[in-house]
Amino acid sequence: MWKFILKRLAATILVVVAASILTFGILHLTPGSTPVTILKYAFIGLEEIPTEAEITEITERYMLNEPLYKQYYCWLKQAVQGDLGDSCVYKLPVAELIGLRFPATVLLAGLSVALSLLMAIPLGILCAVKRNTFFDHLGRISALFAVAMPSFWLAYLLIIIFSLGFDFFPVAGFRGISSLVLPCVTLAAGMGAVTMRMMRSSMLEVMSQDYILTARAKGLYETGIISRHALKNAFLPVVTVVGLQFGHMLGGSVIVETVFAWPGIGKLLIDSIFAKDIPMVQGCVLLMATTYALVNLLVDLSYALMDPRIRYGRES
Amino acid sequence: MRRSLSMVLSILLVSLMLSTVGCGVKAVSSGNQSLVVGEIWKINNIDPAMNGTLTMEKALITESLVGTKPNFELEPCLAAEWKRIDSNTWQFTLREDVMFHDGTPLNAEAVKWSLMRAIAINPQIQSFTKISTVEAENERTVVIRTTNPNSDLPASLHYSNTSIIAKSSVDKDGKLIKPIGTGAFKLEQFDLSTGDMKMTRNTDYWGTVSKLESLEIRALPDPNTRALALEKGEIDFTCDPPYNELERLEKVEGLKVELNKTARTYIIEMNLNEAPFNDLRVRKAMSYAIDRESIVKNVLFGCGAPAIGPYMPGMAWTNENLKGYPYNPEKAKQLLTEAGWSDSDGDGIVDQNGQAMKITLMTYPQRPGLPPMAEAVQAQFKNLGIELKTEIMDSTAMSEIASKGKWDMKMSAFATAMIPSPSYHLNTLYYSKNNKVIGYHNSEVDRLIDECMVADDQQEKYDLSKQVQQILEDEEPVIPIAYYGVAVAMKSKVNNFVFNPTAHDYMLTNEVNIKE
Repeated sequence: MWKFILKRLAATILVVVAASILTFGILHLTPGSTPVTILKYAFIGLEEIPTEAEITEITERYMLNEPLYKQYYCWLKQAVQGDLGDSCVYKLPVAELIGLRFPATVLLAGLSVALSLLMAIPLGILCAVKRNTFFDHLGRISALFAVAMPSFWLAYLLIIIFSLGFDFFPVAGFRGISSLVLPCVTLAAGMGAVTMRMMRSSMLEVMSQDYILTARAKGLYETGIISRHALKNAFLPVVTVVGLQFGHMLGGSVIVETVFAWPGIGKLLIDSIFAKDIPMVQGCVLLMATTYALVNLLVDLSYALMDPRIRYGRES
Repeated sequence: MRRSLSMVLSILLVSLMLSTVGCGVKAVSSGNQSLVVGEIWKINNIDPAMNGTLTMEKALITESLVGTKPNFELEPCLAAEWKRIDSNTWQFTLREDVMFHDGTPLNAEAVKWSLMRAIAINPQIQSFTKISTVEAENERTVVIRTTNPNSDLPASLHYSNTSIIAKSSVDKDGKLIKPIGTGAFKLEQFDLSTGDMKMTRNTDYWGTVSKLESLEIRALPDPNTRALALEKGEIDFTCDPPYNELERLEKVEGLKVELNKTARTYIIEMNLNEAPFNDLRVRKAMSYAIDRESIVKNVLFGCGAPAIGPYMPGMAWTNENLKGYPYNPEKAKQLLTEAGWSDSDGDGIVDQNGQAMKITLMTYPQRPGLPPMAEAVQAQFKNLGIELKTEIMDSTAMSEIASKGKWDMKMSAFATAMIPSPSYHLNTLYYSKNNKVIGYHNSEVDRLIDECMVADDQQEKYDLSKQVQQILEDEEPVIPIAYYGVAVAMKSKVNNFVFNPTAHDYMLTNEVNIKE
């Protein structure tokens, strides 16, 4: 088990390095010369025409005339020593900027995943148990709506109803618990719908297994069959999906962050990509790749907890 | 079993609903005399050398040496007066009664330090000012030397990124702690993660002390969110809600909406090195074919004005005698025919020597008016028999494609007074050496711009600029479409806000307050 974890952690490092090389390369491939883009986004304004002297100054300041492999090597060397460099746009250490934004992202991701589970799991089970009844149809149609609704639209709708109409929550910002609700609900709706459908189909599959029939034949209560026998097995694929969703959420959600002026990591990354703020992008990607890999590792480990047949680190 | 499950479910649902209701809070509102502003950009940075527009024009923390009147004429600000000693030397005399927010006096040493710091951080300041040295001659006299004769030095020292901060704004490593300026408001709090800024009034301000006790800026880059936040009352003042929301917002009780113009012009640049744009008649035809009134009304929802020349009316150096190219499809067609373009094969597209006129117009989405404006031009050109394809891309990608020489037309919203100078915009866009991309060469224009840049007398500068504008109208190397509009939306209780067209987005002043 420990050997497995160590192996996976080593693989994570490889993944992270590979991701950083890819990002670095792709950033340089995107149109727009790097010094001109940095100038426009950080110094002179988007529509201004930079002068030769300005371009030379920025090129030298950020060592952009060095060959790419050398630029990358410099970055990697510093990064390994724990220094992610300074952002060109913010003029502040990348680590500090990420430290400011990441907690808000984790908070939003955690709560919205939790909220989605709170809605999806009971509903999914219920729909499976009451298969093809009115309740099941209603549940499935609602899920279809929730997953098909673009999040920016749902976000505005929620603001109009619950903020303008009922005055329950603030429109936007990051000020206290009340400002968490609308962004969480927006994100949870889409995720919850997927999880709910997953839960339902997975539950249906398990319920048709022989051992459930056996349990029924033994005369167990239906509630007991569902909670003790069926659920554990049905959870496995759901956990995979939820893990992926959570990993994805930790990368931030640009639309929700934009609409609700939420200080998350997603908008930071996108804006930095546009501005070719390379140290900032590299820092964000590093963080995202690491968290994504770690969340996936946790998901894999949780399989072993739920299903005793799964054991890691042993050749079968 | 059914009952127990549905019970669990209903308990869950009800508790969820209750928990949401429980968190309801009222909009934040402090004392009467406080103003909350919804800023339109994300706030990355409060360093005046990089984001001076924010600290000087919106947060009112910093001020620059030179001020401007609403017609873009220069006026004293932190510098009471200035004079040119010789072609490369200038003397600025500071006001006497000015204190920084930390209580230290504004003196020549402080100005020297602040300007040198800004130059070291932002390369653009060097290109504007051409400063070589700054000397503190005595307590109140600053002597600035430039590398080349630059009669726009005072104008460039109005630029917000040169606004003056005290040395205590930075720590011993030179890192910015917070901007400590001389303005009507002092920065109390800045949250880098959200971009929220809180200011309190500077009771020792050298001008009229603001009636507003506090000023708060919240970064709300999404236009729809800004409109909703204003409606809800979370902010009191903002600009540029979605243009199509303006009419509705105006009708909301307790809100008012103002449409203003600012020194920025929507223009189409053309690749003058290539056919058909090297033919003046084609350029004129295209300009006549654009229905600017309809674009302003239908695309910009009235937020802006049809453009005649590069500069909007009301600026000190705008040539008000220009006629422009008012919408005239017949004349456009006639000019195209004269230039040898006609629809010979009957496919609805004009052609010449078997070559149909198919051109591509590039633009970018960062200014919301641009993409729909490109589509409107596309439709209007179609009536003329020109097939126009529109391409929306990131603005830096657009300039890169253009710089490689393989392009037809590009549309942008170009600032015409980044610094309040009658030559600055002409010099960057029309001087043959500076804008090789569009390929405009007119030695007369170059000569006049040169003269305008070195001339000492403001009136002479204005006249030279007007002459250039006349030539530009005759030659139409760039098609002006509309003057940029700024929609300001605010609570009716916001008092004394007067839009200043020299602002880069919007500018607050120490006069703004809340109606009691």
